[in-house]
Amino acid sequence: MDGVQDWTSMLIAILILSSFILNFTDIPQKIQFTRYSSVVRRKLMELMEFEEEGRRKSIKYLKDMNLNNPKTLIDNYVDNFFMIFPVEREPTDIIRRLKHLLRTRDESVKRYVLDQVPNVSEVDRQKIEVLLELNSVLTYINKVVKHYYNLGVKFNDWIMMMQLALQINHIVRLAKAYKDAIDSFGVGAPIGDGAGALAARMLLDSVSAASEIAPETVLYETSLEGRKLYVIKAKGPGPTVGWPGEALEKLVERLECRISRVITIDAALKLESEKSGEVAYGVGAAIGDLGPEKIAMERIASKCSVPLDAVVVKMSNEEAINTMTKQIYEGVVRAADVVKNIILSKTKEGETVIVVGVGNTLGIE
Amino acid sequence: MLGLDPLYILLIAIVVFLASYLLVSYLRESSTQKEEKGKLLTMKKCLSCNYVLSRPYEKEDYVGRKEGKCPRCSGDMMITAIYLEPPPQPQVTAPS
Ligand SMILES: [Zn+2]
Repeated sequence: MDGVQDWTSMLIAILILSSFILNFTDIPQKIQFTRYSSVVRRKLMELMEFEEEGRRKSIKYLKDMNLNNPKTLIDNYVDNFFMIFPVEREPTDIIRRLKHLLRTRDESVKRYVLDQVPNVSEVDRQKIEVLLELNSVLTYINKVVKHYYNLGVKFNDWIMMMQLALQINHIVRLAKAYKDAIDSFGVGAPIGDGAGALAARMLLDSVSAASEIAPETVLYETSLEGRKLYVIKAKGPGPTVGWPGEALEKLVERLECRISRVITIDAALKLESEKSGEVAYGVGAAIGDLGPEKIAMERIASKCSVPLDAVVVKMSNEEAINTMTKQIYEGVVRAADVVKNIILSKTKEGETVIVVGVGNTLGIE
Repeated sequence: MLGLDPLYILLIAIVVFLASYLLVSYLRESSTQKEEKGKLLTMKKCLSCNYVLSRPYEKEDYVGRKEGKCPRCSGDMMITAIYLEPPPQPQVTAPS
Protein backbone atom coordinates (compact mmCIF):
# COMPACT_ATOMS: atom_id res chain seq x y z
CA MET A 1 0.00 0.00 0.00
CA ASP A 2 1.44 3.35 -1.02
CA GLY A 3 -1.13 5.61 0.70
CA VAL A 4 1.05 6.21 3.73
CA GLN A 5 4.09 6.78 1.55
CA ASP A 6 2.20 9.46 -0.44
CA TRP A 7 1.05 11.21 2.67
CA THR A 8 4.48 11.25 4.19
CA SER A 9 6.14 12.75 1.15
CA MET A 10 3.37 15.30 0.87
CA LEU A 11 3.76 16.23 4.53
CA ILE A 12 7.49 16.69 4.08
CA ALA A 13 6.84 18.89 1.08
CA ILE A 14 4.39 20.98 3.09
CA LEU A 15 6.87 21.30 5.94
CA ILE A 16 9.64 22.47 3.65
CA LEU A 17 7.36 24.89 1.88
CA SER A 18 5.96 26.35 5.07
CA SER A 19 9.41 26.68 6.61
CA PHE A 20 10.44 28.56 3.48
CA ILE A 21 7.41 30.81 3.78
CA LEU A 22 8.01 31.40 7.50
CA ASN A 23 11.70 32.16 7.13
CA PHE A 24 12.18 33.86 3.81
CA THR A 25 9.03 35.87 3.15
CA ASP A 26 7.06 38.59 4.90
CA ILE A 27 3.83 36.68 4.63
CA PRO A 28 3.53 35.83 8.37
CA GLN A 29 4.13 39.48 9.23
CA LYS A 30 1.54 40.53 6.68
CA ILE A 31 -0.96 38.14 8.26
CA GLN A 32 -0.11 39.41 11.72
CA PHE A 33 -0.38 42.97 10.50
CA THR A 34 -3.88 42.26 9.22
CA ARG A 35 -4.88 40.62 12.48
CA TYR A 36 -3.45 43.31 14.73
CA SER A 37 -4.79 46.13 12.64
CA SER A 38 -8.26 44.60 12.78
CA VAL A 39 -7.98 44.48 16.58
CA VAL A 40 -6.96 48.12 16.67
CA ARG A 41 -9.71 49.08 14.24
CA ARG A 42 -12.33 47.44 16.42
CA LYS A 43 -11.05 49.15 19.56
CA LEU A 44 -10.83 52.43 17.72
CA MET A 45 -14.54 52.14 16.99
CA GLU A 46 -15.06 51.70 20.72
CA LEU A 47 -12.99 54.79 21.45
CA MET A 48 -15.01 56.77 18.93
CA GLU A 49 -18.21 55.60 20.60
CA PHE A 50 -16.84 56.75 23.96
CA GLU A 51 -16.09 60.16 22.51
CA GLU A 52 -19.56 60.49 21.03
CA GLU A 53 -21.28 59.20 24.14
CA GLY A 54 -19.25 61.57 26.29
CA ARG A 55 -20.20 64.44 24.04
CA ARG A 56 -23.86 63.48 24.16
CA LYS A 57 -23.91 63.16 27.94
CA SER A 58 -22.04 66.43 28.45
CA ILE A 59 -24.53 68.22 26.23
CA LYS A 60 -27.33 66.78 28.34
CA TYR A 61 -25.73 67.90 31.61
CA LEU A 62 -24.95 71.34 30.21
CA LYS A 63 -28.54 71.69 29.02
CA ASP A 64 -29.67 70.85 32.55
CA MET A 65 -27.61 73.85 33.70
CA ASN A 66 -29.73 76.01 31.36
CA LEU A 67 -27.07 76.56 28.73
CA ASN A 68 -28.42 77.45 25.29
CA ASN A 69 -25.72 76.18 23.03
CA PRO A 70 -23.67 73.49 24.72
CA LYS A 71 -22.49 71.92 21.47
CA THR A 72 -20.63 74.97 20.20
CA LEU A 73 -19.31 75.56 23.71
CA ILE A 74 -17.68 72.12 23.62
CA ASP A 75 -16.61 72.23 19.97
CA ASN A 76 -14.83 75.54 20.42
CA TYR A 77 -13.05 74.27 23.51
CA VAL A 78 -11.79 70.90 22.30
CA ASP A 79 -8.37 71.20 20.58
CA ASN A 80 -7.83 74.66 21.99
CA PHE A 81 -6.46 75.78 25.34
CA PHE A 82 -3.36 73.61 25.19
CA MET A 83 -0.35 74.58 27.24
CA ILE A 84 3.22 74.48 25.98
CA PHE A 85 5.57 73.37 28.72
CA PRO A 86 8.35 75.75 29.70
CA VAL A 87 11.93 75.16 28.54
CA GLU A 88 13.55 72.55 30.75
CA ARG A 89 17.08 72.81 29.41
CA GLU A 90 17.50 76.04 31.32
CA PRO A 91 15.96 75.14 34.69
CA THR A 92 16.41 78.50 36.40
CA ASP A 93 13.03 79.68 37.68
CA ILE A 94 11.30 76.86 35.79
CA ILE A 95 8.73 76.45 38.58
CA ARG A 96 7.87 80.13 38.42
CA ARG A 97 7.44 79.92 34.65
CA LEU A 98 5.36 76.74 34.92
CA LYS A 99 3.19 78.24 37.62
CA HIS A 100 2.69 81.34 35.51
CA LEU A 101 1.66 79.28 32.47
CA LEU A 102 -0.69 77.09 34.52
CA ARG A 103 -2.42 80.10 36.02
CA THR A 104 -2.63 81.85 32.67
CA ARG A 105 -4.28 78.80 31.19
CA ASP A 106 -6.69 78.47 34.11
CA GLU A 107 -7.57 82.10 33.79
CA SER A 108 -8.20 81.87 30.05
CA VAL A 109 -10.42 78.79 30.44
CA LYS A 110 -12.37 80.61 33.14
CA ARG A 111 -12.66 83.68 30.93
CA TYR A 112 -13.85 81.53 28.01
CA VAL A 113 -16.64 79.95 30.08
CA LEU A 114 -17.68 83.26 31.58
CA ASP A 115 -17.77 84.88 28.13
CA GLN A 116 -19.95 82.13 26.73
CA VAL A 117 -22.12 81.71 29.81
CA PRO A 118 -22.37 84.94 31.75
CA ASN A 119 -24.16 84.91 35.11
CA VAL A 120 -23.18 81.32 35.82
CA SER A 121 -22.64 80.35 39.46
CA GLU A 122 -19.12 79.47 40.60
CA VAL A 123 -19.99 75.81 41.16
CA ASP A 124 -21.59 75.47 37.71
CA ARG A 125 -18.67 77.27 36.09
CA GLN A 126 -16.23 74.79 37.61
CA LYS A 127 -18.44 71.90 36.52
CA ILE A 128 -18.56 73.23 32.97
CA GLU A 129 -14.78 73.58 32.94
CA VAL A 130 -14.32 69.96 34.02
CA LEU A 131 -16.83 68.67 31.47
CA LEU A 132 -15.03 70.58 28.72
CA GLU A 133 -11.70 69.21 29.86
CA LEU A 134 -12.99 65.61 29.89
CA ASN A 135 -14.32 65.97 26.35
CA SER A 136 -11.00 67.39 25.30
CA VAL A 137 -9.13 64.43 26.80
CA LEU A 138 -11.40 61.88 25.09
CA THR A 139 -10.89 63.57 21.74
CA TYR A 140 -7.15 63.70 22.29
CA ILE A 141 -6.84 60.01 23.19
CA ASN A 142 -8.82 59.16 20.11
CA LYS A 143 -6.63 61.30 17.90
CA VAL A 144 -3.39 59.85 19.21
CA VAL A 145 -4.56 56.28 18.65
CA LYS A 146 -5.77 57.16 15.15
CA HIS A 147 -2.42 58.81 14.47
CA TYR A 148 -0.43 55.68 15.24
CA TYR A 149 -2.95 53.46 13.46
CA ASN A 150 -2.77 55.57 10.32
CA LEU A 151 1.03 55.71 10.46
CA GLY A 152 1.14 51.93 10.83
CA VAL A 153 -1.13 51.41 7.84
CA LYS A 154 0.69 53.97 5.74
CA PHE A 155 4.13 52.46 6.20
CA ASN A 156 3.00 48.86 6.67
CA ASP A 157 4.73 49.06 10.02
CA TRP A 158 3.73 45.83 11.66
CA ILE A 159 5.80 46.46 14.78
CA MET A 160 4.00 49.71 15.45
CA MET A 161 0.66 48.05 14.81
CA MET A 162 1.57 45.21 17.15
CA GLN A 163 2.60 47.60 19.92
CA LEU A 164 -0.61 49.54 19.46
CA ALA A 165 -2.69 46.36 19.55
CA LEU A 166 -0.98 45.26 22.76
CA GLN A 167 -1.48 48.62 24.46
CA ILE A 168 -4.94 49.38 23.20
CA ASN A 169 -6.72 47.63 26.08
CA HIS A 170 -5.03 49.94 28.61
CA ILE A 171 -5.93 52.91 26.48
CA VAL A 172 -9.55 51.84 26.18
CA ARG A 173 -9.74 51.32 29.94
CA LEU A 174 -8.40 54.81 30.52
CA ALA A 175 -10.76 56.35 27.98
CA LYS A 176 -13.68 54.52 29.58
CA ALA A 177 -12.74 55.97 32.96
CA TYR A 178 -12.78 59.47 31.46
CA LYS A 179 -16.11 58.80 29.76
CA ASP A 180 -17.64 57.52 33.01
CA ALA A 181 -16.19 60.52 34.82
CA ILE A 182 -18.50 62.73 32.76
CA ASP A 183 -21.41 61.06 34.56
CA SER A 184 -19.74 61.40 37.94
CA PHE A 185 -19.09 65.09 37.46
CA GLY A 186 -22.55 65.59 36.01
CA VAL A 187 -24.15 63.94 39.04
CA GLY A 188 -22.03 66.00 41.43
CA ALA A 189 -21.32 63.49 44.21
CA PRO A 190 -17.77 63.35 45.62
CA ILE A 191 -15.17 61.49 43.53
CA GLY A 192 -12.31 59.28 44.67
CA ASP A 193 -9.81 62.09 44.31
CA GLY A 194 -11.80 63.97 46.94
CA ALA A 195 -10.41 61.60 49.59
CA GLY A 196 -7.87 64.10 50.94
CA ALA A 197 -10.36 66.93 51.12
CA LEU A 198 -12.99 64.73 52.77
CA ALA A 199 -10.53 63.38 55.35
CA ALA A 200 -9.43 66.92 56.20
CA ARG A 201 -13.06 67.91 56.55
CA MET A 202 -13.67 65.13 59.04
CA LEU A 203 -11.29 66.87 61.45
CA LEU A 204 -13.56 69.90 61.60
CA ASP A 205 -16.46 70.39 63.90
CA SER A 206 -19.59 72.01 62.56
CA VAL A 207 -18.82 75.47 63.90
CA SER A 208 -15.55 76.12 62.05
CA ALA A 209 -15.89 79.09 59.76
CA ALA A 210 -14.04 79.18 56.45
CA SER A 211 -12.07 82.03 54.96
CA GLU A 212 -10.67 82.14 51.44
CA ILE A 213 -6.90 82.22 51.76
CA ALA A 214 -5.90 81.62 48.12
CA PRO A 215 -7.98 81.47 44.94
CA GLU A 216 -10.59 78.70 45.32
CA THR A 217 -8.87 77.54 48.50
CA VAL A 218 -10.24 77.88 52.01
CA LEU A 219 -8.84 77.83 55.52
CA TYR A 220 -10.66 76.55 58.62
CA GLU A 221 -9.55 77.14 62.16
CA THR A 222 -10.44 74.64 64.83
CA SER A 223 -8.87 72.78 67.70
CA LEU A 224 -8.17 69.18 68.63
CA GLU A 225 -7.54 68.26 72.27
CA GLY A 226 -5.73 71.45 73.10
CA ARG A 227 -3.86 71.78 69.80
CA LYS A 228 -4.63 74.65 67.47
CA LEU A 229 -5.57 73.19 64.12
CA TYR A 230 -5.59 74.92 60.73
CA VAL A 231 -7.21 72.98 57.89
CA ILE A 232 -6.62 73.94 54.26
CA LYS A 233 -8.67 72.51 51.40
CA ALA A 234 -10.08 73.58 48.06
CA LYS A 235 -13.35 75.44 48.19
CA GLY A 236 -16.31 73.12 47.60
CA PRO A 237 -18.75 71.91 46.58
CA GLY A 238 -17.66 72.70 43.04
CA PRO A 239 -15.05 70.49 41.33
CA THR A 240 -11.82 72.32 41.97
CA VAL A 241 -8.44 71.51 43.49
CA GLY A 242 -7.55 75.07 44.48
CA TRP A 243 -4.01 76.19 45.19
CA PRO A 244 -3.06 74.34 48.39
CA GLY A 245 0.66 75.08 48.08
CA GLU A 246 0.15 78.79 47.81
CA ALA A 247 -2.36 78.68 50.67
CA LEU A 248 0.08 76.83 52.92
CA GLU A 249 2.83 79.29 52.04
CA LYS A 250 0.63 82.26 52.94
CA LEU A 251 -0.57 80.72 56.18
CA VAL A 252 2.89 79.73 57.40
CA GLU A 253 4.21 83.18 56.60
CA ARG A 254 1.31 84.73 58.45
CA LEU A 255 2.04 82.52 61.47
CA GLU A 256 5.76 83.37 61.15
CA CYS A 257 6.75 79.71 61.25
CA ARG A 258 5.23 79.20 64.68
CA ILE A 259 3.88 75.74 63.83
CA SER A 260 5.05 72.34 64.90
CA ARG A 261 3.78 70.10 62.11
CA VAL A 262 2.31 70.09 58.61
CA ILE A 263 0.26 67.06 57.53
CA THR A 264 -0.84 66.56 53.92
CA ILE A 265 -3.54 64.07 52.92
CA ASP A 266 -4.17 62.98 49.35
CA ALA A 267 -5.39 60.17 47.14
CA ALA A 268 -2.54 58.09 45.71
CA LEU A 269 -2.38 55.68 42.80
CA LYS A 270 -2.40 52.10 44.01
CA LEU A 271 -0.39 49.27 42.56
CA GLU A 272 -2.45 46.48 41.03
CA SER A 273 -1.78 44.20 44.01
CA GLU A 274 -2.93 46.76 46.55
CA LYS A 275 -6.51 47.13 47.75
CA SER A 276 -8.53 50.27 47.11
CA GLY A 277 -8.91 52.34 50.23
CA GLU A 278 -5.65 51.23 51.84
CA VAL A 279 -4.13 53.97 53.98
CA ALA A 280 -0.42 54.58 54.30
CA TYR A 281 1.65 57.33 55.87
CA GLY A 282 5.13 58.68 55.42
CA VAL A 283 6.91 61.96 54.99
CA GLY A 284 6.80 64.54 52.22
CA ALA A 285 4.15 66.54 50.43
CA ALA A 286 1.27 64.30 49.39
CA ILE A 287 0.09 66.09 46.28
CA GLY A 288 0.10 65.13 42.63
CA ASP A 289 0.24 68.43 40.79
CA LEU A 290 2.70 69.30 38.04
CA GLY A 291 5.12 70.85 40.50
CA PRO A 292 4.39 74.38 41.64
CA GLU A 293 2.11 73.49 44.57
CA LYS A 294 4.25 70.60 45.75
CA ILE A 295 7.45 72.58 45.68
CA ALA A 296 5.78 75.44 47.54
CA MET A 297 4.90 73.04 50.36
CA GLU A 298 8.38 71.53 50.46
CA ARG A 299 10.07 74.92 50.39
CA ILE A 300 8.01 76.43 53.17
CA ALA A 301 8.35 73.34 55.36
CA SER A 302 12.12 73.24 54.95
CA LYS A 303 12.43 76.99 55.39
CA CYS A 304 10.75 76.75 58.80
CA SER A 305 12.21 73.26 59.38
CA VAL A 306 8.79 71.89 60.24
CA PRO A 307 8.19 68.14 59.85
CA LEU A 308 6.09 67.42 56.77
CA ASP A 309 3.90 64.32 57.00
CA ALA A 310 2.01 62.59 54.20
CA VAL A 311 -1.05 60.38 54.56
CA VAL A 312 -2.46 58.74 51.43
CA VAL A 313 -5.56 56.79 50.52
CA LYS A 314 -4.82 54.37 47.69
CA MET A 315 -7.03 53.89 44.66
CA SER A 316 -6.85 53.19 40.95
CA ASN A 317 -6.83 55.77 38.22
CA GLU A 318 -10.46 55.00 37.39
CA GLU A 319 -11.60 55.25 40.99
CA ALA A 320 -9.88 58.60 41.39
CA ILE A 321 -12.02 60.29 38.75
CA ASN A 322 -15.27 58.46 39.42
CA THR A 323 -17.84 58.66 42.21
CA MET A 324 -16.35 57.66 45.55
CA THR A 325 -17.03 54.04 46.44
CA LYS A 326 -17.76 52.76 49.93
CA GLN A 327 -14.37 51.05 50.01
CA ILE A 328 -12.59 54.36 49.46
CA TYR A 329 -14.88 56.16 51.88
CA GLU A 330 -13.88 53.69 54.60
CA GLY A 331 -10.26 54.43 53.70
CA VAL A 332 -10.97 58.14 54.13
CA VAL A 333 -12.34 57.51 57.63
CA ARG A 334 -9.18 55.54 58.48
CA ALA A 335 -6.97 58.28 57.01
CA ALA A 336 -8.67 60.88 59.22
CA ASP A 337 -7.97 58.64 62.22
CA VAL A 338 -4.33 58.29 61.20
CA VAL A 339 -4.04 62.08 61.00
CA LYS A 340 -5.60 62.45 64.45
CA ASN A 341 -3.15 59.89 65.82
CA ILE A 342 -0.20 61.72 64.32
CA ILE A 343 -1.39 64.99 65.84
CA LEU A 344 -1.98 63.47 69.28
CA SER A 345 1.21 61.43 69.43
CA LYS A 346 3.66 63.83 67.81
CA THR A 347 2.56 67.24 69.05
CA LYS A 348 1.98 68.61 72.52
CA GLU A 349 -0.94 70.59 73.84
CA GLY A 350 -0.84 74.26 72.93
CA GLU A 351 1.06 73.64 69.70
CA THR A 352 -0.16 74.50 66.22
CA VAL A 353 -0.70 72.00 63.41
CA ILE A 354 -1.65 72.57 59.77
CA VAL A 355 -3.55 69.88 57.87
CA VAL A 356 -3.77 70.18 54.09
CA GLY A 357 -6.50 68.12 52.42
CA VAL A 358 -5.42 67.85 48.81
CA GLY A 359 -7.80 66.80 46.04
CA ASN A 360 -10.90 67.65 44.10
CA THR A 361 -13.71 69.01 46.25
CA LEU A 362 -16.65 68.03 44.07
CA GLY A 363 -19.58 67.52 46.44
CA ILE A 364 -17.52 68.42 49.53
CA GLU A 365 -17.98 71.84 51.02
CA MET B 1 -9.94 -0.98 6.84
CA LEU B 2 -11.08 -0.02 10.32
CA GLY B 3 -8.20 2.25 11.37
CA LEU B 4 -8.17 5.60 9.63
CA ASP B 5 -4.95 6.88 8.28
CA PRO B 6 -3.07 8.46 11.26
CA LEU B 7 -2.43 11.55 9.16
CA TYR B 8 -6.16 12.00 8.65
CA ILE B 9 -6.63 11.86 12.39
CA LEU B 10 -3.86 14.37 12.90
CA LEU B 11 -5.36 16.72 10.31
CA ILE B 12 -8.83 16.43 11.81
CA ALA B 13 -7.44 17.06 15.29
CA ILE B 14 -5.65 20.20 14.12
CA VAL B 15 -8.74 21.52 12.37
CA VAL B 16 -10.93 20.83 15.41
CA PHE B 17 -8.39 22.48 17.70
CA LEU B 18 -8.13 25.61 15.56
CA ALA B 19 -11.88 25.90 15.17
CA SER B 20 -12.52 25.59 18.91
CA TYR B 21 -9.70 28.03 19.67
CA LEU B 22 -11.21 30.62 17.38
CA LEU B 23 -14.69 30.00 18.75
CA VAL B 24 -13.56 30.31 22.38
CA SER B 25 -11.59 33.50 21.78
CA TYR B 26 -14.52 34.98 19.87
CA LEU B 27 -16.96 34.09 22.65
CA ARG B 28 -14.66 35.50 25.30
CA GLU B 29 -14.39 38.73 23.31
CA SER B 30 -18.13 39.18 22.87
CA SER B 31 -19.24 38.25 26.39
CA THR B 32 -18.56 41.52 28.17
CA GLN B 33 -20.83 41.33 31.16
CA LYS B 34 -22.99 44.28 32.13
CA GLU B 35 -21.57 45.99 35.17
CA GLU B 36 -23.88 47.14 37.92
CA LYS B 37 -23.28 50.60 39.25
CA GLY B 38 -24.63 50.24 42.76
CA LYS B 39 -26.57 52.71 44.86
CA LEU B 40 -25.44 56.23 45.65
CA LEU B 41 -26.11 56.95 49.33
CA THR B 42 -26.11 60.14 51.37
CA MET B 43 -25.33 59.88 55.09
CA LYS B 44 -26.66 62.51 57.48
CA LYS B 45 -25.40 62.89 61.00
CA CYS B 46 -26.94 64.73 63.92
CA LEU B 47 -24.54 67.37 65.21
CA SER B 48 -25.61 66.98 68.83
CA CYS B 49 -26.27 63.28 69.36
CA ASN B 50 -24.39 61.71 66.41
CA TYR B 51 -27.50 59.89 65.20
CA VAL B 52 -26.92 58.70 61.61
CA LEU B 53 -29.50 58.51 58.84
CA SER B 54 -28.95 57.30 55.28
CA ARG B 55 -31.03 57.92 52.20
CA PRO B 56 -30.57 57.78 48.42
CA TYR B 57 -28.47 60.60 46.98
CA GLU B 58 -30.35 63.57 45.60
CA LYS B 59 -29.10 66.21 43.22
CA GLU B 60 -27.60 69.23 45.02
CA ASP B 61 -26.51 67.10 48.00
CA TYR B 62 -23.00 67.83 49.19
CA VAL B 63 -20.91 66.99 52.22
CA GLY B 64 -21.23 69.81 54.74
CA ARG B 65 -24.79 70.83 53.84
CA LYS B 66 -27.02 71.30 56.86
CA GLU B 67 -30.35 69.69 56.31
CA GLY B 68 -33.36 68.87 58.44
CA LYS B 69 -33.77 68.07 62.09
CA CYS B 70 -32.76 65.01 64.04
CA PRO B 71 -35.72 62.68 64.64
CA ARG B 72 -34.29 61.78 68.03
CA CYS B 73 -33.25 65.07 69.62
CA SER B 74 -34.37 67.58 66.96
CA GLY B 75 -30.85 68.97 66.65
CA ASP B 76 -29.43 70.12 63.29
CA MET B 77 -28.34 67.42 60.87
CA MET B 78 -25.49 67.68 58.39
CA ILE B 79 -24.49 65.54 55.41
CA THR B 80 -21.20 63.87 56.34
CA ALA B 81 -20.71 61.34 53.58
CA ILE B 82 -21.80 60.48 50.06
CA TYR B 83 -20.60 57.25 48.51
CA LEU B 84 -21.43 54.48 46.10
CA GLU B 85 -22.64 51.33 47.83
CA PRO B 86 -21.50 48.36 45.73
CA PRO B 87 -24.22 46.10 44.32
CA PRO B 88 -24.77 42.90 46.32
CA GLN B 89 -22.35 40.23 45.14
CA PRO B 90 -24.03 37.24 43.53
CA GLN B 91 -24.26 34.53 46.19
CA VAL B 92 -21.67 31.86 45.58
CA THR B 93 -22.86 28.69 47.22
CA ALA B 94 -20.02 27.01 49.01
CA PRO B 95 -19.39 23.44 47.95
CA SER B 96 -20.79 21.20 50.68
ZN1 LIG C 1 -29.85 64.12 67.43
